[in-house]
Amino acid sequence: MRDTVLEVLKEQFGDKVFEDSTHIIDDLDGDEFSLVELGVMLDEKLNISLDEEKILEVGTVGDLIALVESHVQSN
Amino acid sequence: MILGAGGGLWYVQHLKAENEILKLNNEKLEGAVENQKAVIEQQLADIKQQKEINQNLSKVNEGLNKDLNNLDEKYNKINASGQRRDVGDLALNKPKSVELILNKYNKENNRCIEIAQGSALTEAEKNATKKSQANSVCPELANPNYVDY
Repeated sequence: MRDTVLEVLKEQFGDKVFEDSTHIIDDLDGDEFSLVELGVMLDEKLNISLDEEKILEVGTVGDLIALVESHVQSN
Repeated sequence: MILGAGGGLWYVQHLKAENEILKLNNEKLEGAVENQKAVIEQQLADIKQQKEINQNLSKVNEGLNKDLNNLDEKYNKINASGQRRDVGDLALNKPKSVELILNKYNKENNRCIEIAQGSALTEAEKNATKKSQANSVCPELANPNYVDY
């Protein structure tokens, strides 16, 4: 799961350091639409459907991994 | 001799009357000069104020242009894989998310208008230093302590 998230982050932001504490907007120069893009990419790769409101609450890489893991566990 | 004295008296009276007229004219001229001075001072003050307004407008315009470029970049962003962002496609896949984002931008845009019309900045706006804390539409206007790298 983590690897897929990191793969998607790399596709979106390039070769950067992705730690759990890395903030997607502040450290990777993303924005709200980046979060939606990441959500769509993860949906396609993992065949899931991440919650549309929760994806916008994601701040850090760790938050994104946790969201994906909790979604997979709950389904 | 009487005629000579009468002529002299008339001449003196005539000079006095002319002198009075000249005095009055001089007072009028002095008054006009004072009025002109006041008008010139007012005009100089108006020019100074106009210069300040122009400078402020230039500054606001510069900020708005920068914000416009940021918005353009936001809607047409290209990711590290070379794919251009397609907001329409995102709206098809995640309509609720896009609606929430657009509502947020709409609120921020309204706030930008308020600020441009003279509304004071809030403490949160003044203290925002990170991108996630800043107004997405007009950080140049709303967040003086936020530096966009």
